[in-house]
Amino acid sequence: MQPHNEWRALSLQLADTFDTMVAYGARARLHAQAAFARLLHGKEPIEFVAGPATPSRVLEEGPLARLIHYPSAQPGAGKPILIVASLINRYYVMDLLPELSVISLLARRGFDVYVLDWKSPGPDGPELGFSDYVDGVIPRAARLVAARHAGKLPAVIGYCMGGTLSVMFAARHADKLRSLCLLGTPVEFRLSGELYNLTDRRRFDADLLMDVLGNMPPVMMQSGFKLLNPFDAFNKMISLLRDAGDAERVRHFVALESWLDDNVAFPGGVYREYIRALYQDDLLCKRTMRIAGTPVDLGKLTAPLLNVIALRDHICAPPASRALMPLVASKDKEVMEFDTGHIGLTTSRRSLSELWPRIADWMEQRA
Amino acid sequence: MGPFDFSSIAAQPWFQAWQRAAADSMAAAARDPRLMRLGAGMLRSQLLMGRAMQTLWQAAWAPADALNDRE
Repeated sequence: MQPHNEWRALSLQLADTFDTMVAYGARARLHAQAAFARLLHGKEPIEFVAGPATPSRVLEEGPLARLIHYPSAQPGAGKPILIVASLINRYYVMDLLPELSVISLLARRGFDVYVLDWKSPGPDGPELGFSDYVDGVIPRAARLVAARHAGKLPAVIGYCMGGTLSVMFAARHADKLRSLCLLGTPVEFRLSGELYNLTDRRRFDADLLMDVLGNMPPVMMQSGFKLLNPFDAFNKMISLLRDAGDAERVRHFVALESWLDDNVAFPGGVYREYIRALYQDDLLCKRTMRIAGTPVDLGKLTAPLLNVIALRDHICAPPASRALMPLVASKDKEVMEFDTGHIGLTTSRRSLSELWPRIADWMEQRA
Repeated sequence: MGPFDFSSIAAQPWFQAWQRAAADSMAAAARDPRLMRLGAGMLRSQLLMGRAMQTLWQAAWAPADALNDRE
């Protein structure tokens, strides 16, 4: 490596360290804010809310992801699930608190839950592409999971951008999954709402951004999401001050907000592809998307498909998800709509009590 | 109840109306095409400046790179 490139690699590593520090700092800040709000209500501070709530085990750690296992609460049930989260988010939005954990609910229902926890891409990020994930990490994880369950293929759950990755994986590796469940997954990006406007090609140059930054820093991604609802931060503080007397609400607030600030950088190479091919050219639903030179034909997606759509989703507007249904070849396909927001799909009590039991039933029938 | 009861203020209709109006006007401002153009232009100029600095940095290292290649 040439000397100036070594500096570039070092700067990307430092950026990853900075992101980690931001996440720890945000968690500390949120606990301090919560303690202050509780003090105003004459209450004690809440106990420390850490990351994932349920005990788990790292099965394998590769350069791009960790494969984490949450064993079933019914040993021997042998129904594997593989969860693919968005590339920028940590997976534990599905395991925020013991009483608010989709993963724990699935484990209690007899599923062996495996999760891909994405790692910071570091200096390799600019060279990565969709193929490293869709043809690399995800199929490898699916193979590993199947091998641990006597060849039984996993049901795949994809959330947000993880859903888009899962759709591409299912179309290209139909023999590696049992069924596919998507949560808030955009497919026709032209219909995805405000994020589509923000990435309009007349204003937004993803190549220039990645030429300079290498990888997409979480702070910058988050500022884009915050632009969708700029007053939200203030409203959240008002809610915290108002509800601080209720310890459970405060724990929920701190857990969710800490998760929102705990992100990994978006690999630069994937970001270029994501913005250009999906947001700006909408190639996936036009069936002209190519990964590493070969087509992604949604017509080859034959696995049973459940598409869960949040009706108040501002990150992936419902039409952007619904557009998938006529494009796939699955004979067994269903849309499940639920009145919540994008994150509410996994973090609201109502989703856990009303939506997830139905999703678990659907997967159980196809396990 | 603690020394400061915010719940009663937050529950006032005037406060909630103000909150909604402020949220709507900020969201509208953020979606204003002129503001978006301005923001995009500022970001672009920052990035072009960044790219120019990178080019300078590479040029400064060019002799060391050439030596490294020869070795």
